Amino acid sequence: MAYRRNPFLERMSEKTTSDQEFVRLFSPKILECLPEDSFGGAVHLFTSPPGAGKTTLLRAFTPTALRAFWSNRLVQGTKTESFKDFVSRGVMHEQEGPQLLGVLLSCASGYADLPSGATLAHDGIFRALFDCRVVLRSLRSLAALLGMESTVELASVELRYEGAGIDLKSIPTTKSAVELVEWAEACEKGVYAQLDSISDVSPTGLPVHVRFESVLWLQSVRFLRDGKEVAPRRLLMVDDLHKLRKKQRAMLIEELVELRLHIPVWLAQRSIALGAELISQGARDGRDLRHYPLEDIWSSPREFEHYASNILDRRMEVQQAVPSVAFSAYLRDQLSQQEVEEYWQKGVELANKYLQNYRHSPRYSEWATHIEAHLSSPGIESLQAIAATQILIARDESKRQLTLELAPLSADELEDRDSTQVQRAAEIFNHDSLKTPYYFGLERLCILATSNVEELLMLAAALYDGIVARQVLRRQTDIQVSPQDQEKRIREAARKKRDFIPKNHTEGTRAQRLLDAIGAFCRGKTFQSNAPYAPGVTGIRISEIELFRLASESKRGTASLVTLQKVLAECVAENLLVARSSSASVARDGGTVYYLNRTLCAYFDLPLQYGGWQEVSLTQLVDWMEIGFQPSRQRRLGA
Amino acid sequence: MLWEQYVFQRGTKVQDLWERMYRDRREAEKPVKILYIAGRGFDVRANAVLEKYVESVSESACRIEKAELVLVGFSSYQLSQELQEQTDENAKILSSLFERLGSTTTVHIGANGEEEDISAASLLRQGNDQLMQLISDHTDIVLDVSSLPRIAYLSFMLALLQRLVKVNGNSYLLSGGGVTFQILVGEDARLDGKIQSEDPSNDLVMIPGFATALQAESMQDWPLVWFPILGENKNAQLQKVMEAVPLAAEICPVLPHPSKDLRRGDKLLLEYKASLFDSKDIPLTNVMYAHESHPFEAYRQLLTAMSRYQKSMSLLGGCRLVVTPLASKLITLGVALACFEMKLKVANSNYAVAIPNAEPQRYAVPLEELRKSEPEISMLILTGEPYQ
Repeated sequence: MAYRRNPFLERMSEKTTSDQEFVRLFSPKILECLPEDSFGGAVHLFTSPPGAGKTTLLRAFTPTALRAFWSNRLVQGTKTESFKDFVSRGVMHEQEGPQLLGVLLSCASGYADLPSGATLAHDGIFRALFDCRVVLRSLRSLAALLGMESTVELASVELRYEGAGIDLKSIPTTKSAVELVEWAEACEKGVYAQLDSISDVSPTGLPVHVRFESVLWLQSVRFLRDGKEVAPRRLLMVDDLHKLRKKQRAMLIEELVELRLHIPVWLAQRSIALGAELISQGARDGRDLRHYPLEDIWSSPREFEHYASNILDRRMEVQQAVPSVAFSAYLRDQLSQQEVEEYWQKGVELANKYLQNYRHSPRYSEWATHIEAHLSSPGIESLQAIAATQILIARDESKRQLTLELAPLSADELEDRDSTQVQRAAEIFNHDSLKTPYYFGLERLCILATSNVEELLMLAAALYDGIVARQVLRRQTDIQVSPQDQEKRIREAARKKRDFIPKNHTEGTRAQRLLDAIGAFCRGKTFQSNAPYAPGVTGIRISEIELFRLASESKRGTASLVTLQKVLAECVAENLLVARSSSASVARDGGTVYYLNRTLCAYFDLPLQYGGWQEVSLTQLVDWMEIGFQPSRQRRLGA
Repeated sequence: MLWEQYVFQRGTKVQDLWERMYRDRREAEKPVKILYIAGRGFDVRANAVLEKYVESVSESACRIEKAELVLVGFSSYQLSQELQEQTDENAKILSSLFERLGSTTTVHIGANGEEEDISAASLLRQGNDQLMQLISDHTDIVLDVSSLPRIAYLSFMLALLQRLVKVNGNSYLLSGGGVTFQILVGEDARLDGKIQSEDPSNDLVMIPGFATALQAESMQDWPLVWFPILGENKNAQLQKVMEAVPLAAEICPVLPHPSKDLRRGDKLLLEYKASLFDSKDIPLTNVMYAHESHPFEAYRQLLTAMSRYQKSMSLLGGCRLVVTPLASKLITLGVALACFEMKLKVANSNYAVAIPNAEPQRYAVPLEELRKSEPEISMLILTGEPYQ
C-alpha cells in the first residue's frame, strides 16, 4: 500500500488496494454471516446501498486474494480466522491451498452502451460480449490461481469438457487454454472495433449468441495441469448489475436461473436497481434465485459492532502515525471531572429555575426533593436523573388535565414510572439543552454507521484526524480523544454528508429538502417536554394504503407522486433512509417505516435508537419535498 | 502533430478573421454553404457569438448559397422554470438572428419513451448520427460550444473531425475535403463560476469512440495513465471517475497555468488536496500545466505526454490513456484534439484512449448573472482552407 495519511479514507474495492493490503484489511466476520447455501448451485443476488461491502466480499474469492490469504494463513504460528473460514467452506484445502476458481466480472464495462432495442440481434450481442468476457476472465483467473505470470503459461493446462460443455455452439471446445484466450480476446476486440464508434451501431456483422454459454462452459470445463485436475470448484461473480439496462438485467437473471446451474453464481447490485420495489418491503426470493440484502445480514447490532471493530483495528495496524492499538482505545467514553463541571453549572442553573414552579407543589414536592437531592451530587448521571424526573412530571401534568388529583406523588411512584426509554430520552434532552456530548464512543460510532462500512470508515477517518492531532501536540498526556472532540468531528462529518447529498444523487436537491423536513419533523416530535415517543422519533411511517396509492398514482403519471416515489427509492437505495416493515395492529394497517440514516440523526441532533416513528401522508411528503418543512408550535422542555 | 500549424484567434481578431475569410470567398467567387451548430440552452453567450458571426458574414457580402442553423436540445437535464423559459427565449433569439442568413432546424437528444434507460453514450451516438445526416455539400461547418454541455460538444467535435480528417497513406489531411470546420467559444470566466452543476450521474458517460480503454476486458491488465484536467467545483464528478481508476494507475493532473488568476492553480491544488492528491498520493512532479485559454497549447502538452507514456509503456505490452476534462471549454477543446490524434494512430498499436465523464443532471444559475455576461469570443479552425 502506498503511503496513506489517513488509512480510513481508502475504499477497499477491487481496484484501489493491493492484494496483500486487502488481506490485512479484510474482516472475516462477514464470512461467518454468509448463508450456508450461498455456495450452492443457484443464482444468488446480493444487494445493498453503496459502501456496504459487496465488492469487497466478492473480491475475497478472486484468485489473487485467495493466494494472498493462503500465503498469510499463519500469524505467529496460528491459523488466521479467514483461513479457517475458507477451509470450512471448501474454498481452500489445508495443505493444497486455494481450490475455488472465483471469476469476477463487472457490468460497468459498456453493456449499457450496446445498441438498444428489443430484437434478437441486440440480445445476442449482449450475450456474446458477456460470454467472451467470462471465458477470458476465467482463464486469466486460472493463470493467477496457478501462480502464472501471464496467460501464455496456460500452455501447460489442458481443457476437457463433459456434460453440457460438449454441446456448446458459440464457444470453441478447444483443448488449448491459450487458443481459447486468443479466441476470447479476438471476439471482444472484434465487437469493440464496431461498438466503440462515434456513430450509432448497427447489429449486423456482430456476433450473436442465443444463450449465456459461458456459464455452461465454466461449470463443465475441467482444467488439467500435468494430468492433474486443478481448480475443481467454481464461483462466477458478477458485480455492478445495476449498471446494466433494466431489460439486460432482467434477461441475465432470468436466463441464468433457467439454466439450473450446479455452480454458484453471485450477482451483486446496488439497491437502487430494485427501483420502486424498495419502497415497500416484500419477499423477493424464488426457488432458484436467492436474495440477500447485505444490510440485513447482521442478526444484531452487536454483531455489526464486532465486524466494524475488527475493520477499524485492522486499519489502525497499517498506519504508523500513532501506536497501532485498538481503535476503541483512542476513544474516551467518559467525561472527565473538569468536563462535567462545565455542564453541571448550567444544569444546576436550569434545574433551580425549574424547581421554582414545583418545589412547593403539593403533588410534585417529593419529586422536586428528588431533584434537589441530585443537585448535591455533581455528575452526568445526576443531570440525567433530573431530566428524567422533569419528563415524568410533564407526563403526569399532561394526563391530569381533566382531573383534580392533588395527592402527592411518592419517590416509589417516580421509580415505577421511570424506564430505560425515559432515561434515554433524558440523555438526548440534556444533549439538546445543556450540550452534553452524546455522539461518542465505539458503540455509538457503530450505530451511526447504519450497518454500512463506507459510512463507518468516513466517520472513523474524521476521528482518526483527531487522534493524530493529539499525537502531534506532544504536550497532551492523554492519547484519547475526548467525548466533546469526538462529537464535534462526527457532527462535522454528518454535516458534510448532508451537504453532499445534492452533489451525489440524481434527485439530490429534493432528497435533501425531504430529509431536512423529516429531520425537523422528528425533532419537533422528539423534544416535547413529556417525551411522548421516548427516546425520540427518528423516522416516518407510510401506511400500506398510502404506499399502494403511491404506486398506482405513479403508474398513472401523477407528476408529484412519480417524483416522490423516485426520491424515496433513491434515499432508501443510498442508505439515507432505512426501510423497515411495520405490521398491522388493532389501531392501524401495516406499512413501512423509513428511519433516517443514523449519521443524519447526528446532524439533526436526534437519538440513535430505532423504534420511534410518526405516520405521515403522501401529501405531507410531497410538500416537504418541494417546499420544505413548515413548523408548528410545540411545547418544549424548559420553554 | 496534426495541428503543428494552427489557426486560433480571440476577441476582436475573430471578427477580423471572419471578414477577411468571407471577403476572400467573395472575391474568389466561391459560394458559401454554412451549417452552424449551436446548443438550444439557457446560456446567453451563444446569442452573442452568433450575433457577431452573422454580422461578419453579412458584412463580407459573400454569396451565401445556403445556410442552416441547427439547434441541439437536450431533454434529460433538470432546469428550473426560469432557466427553461430562458432556454425557449434563447432559441427564438438565435433563430431570429440567423434569419439574415438562412433557416433553423432543431434536433432533440434524449430518451424517447420506449426504452427509458438508454445510456447517455448511446444517445450521443444517435445525436452524432442525426448531425452527420444534416451535412451534405457544406463549405463551412461551425460548432458553437458556448451553450452545449461538455459531453455533447466533445462528442460532436470528435464526430465531425472523424468525418473531415482524411487518411492519406501514412499521414492525415486537414483540408477536410474543402470544408472549413470552426469551433467557437464565448468565454466568460465570471459566469462559469456562477453556473452550478449538480447531481452527477452515477454512471460514467464514455464519449463515443473513446470507451475501449476502460471497458475492454482484454485490456484490463494494461497499465493505465489518467490525466484529470482540473477545474473548480468538480469534486463530485472527479470522485465518480476516480472509482474506475485502478490502484497502480499513473496519475498526471493538469492544472491551468498560466491563468488570469495567478493563484488559480494553487486554489485547485487545495480544492483537490484530500480527494485526489492525498488519497492517491500523487507527487507534485506529476502535475502538468496547460495554458488556461490557449487550446492548442493544451493540445501540445497533452499529446506530448500521452505519446511519451505510450512509447515507454509499449514495452509492458500496451497501455491505456484516460483523460477526464473538468476544466474550461478552451482547455477541453485542446484536450479533445490530443485524444483524437492519439486515437487516429491506435489501429495495430497496443494502446487505447478513453474519455470518461460524470455528467451532471442539473444546472442552476441566477438569471441576472446570465444576463450580465459579456463573453469574449475565441475561434479555432481545425480543417479547411487554411490547411490547404
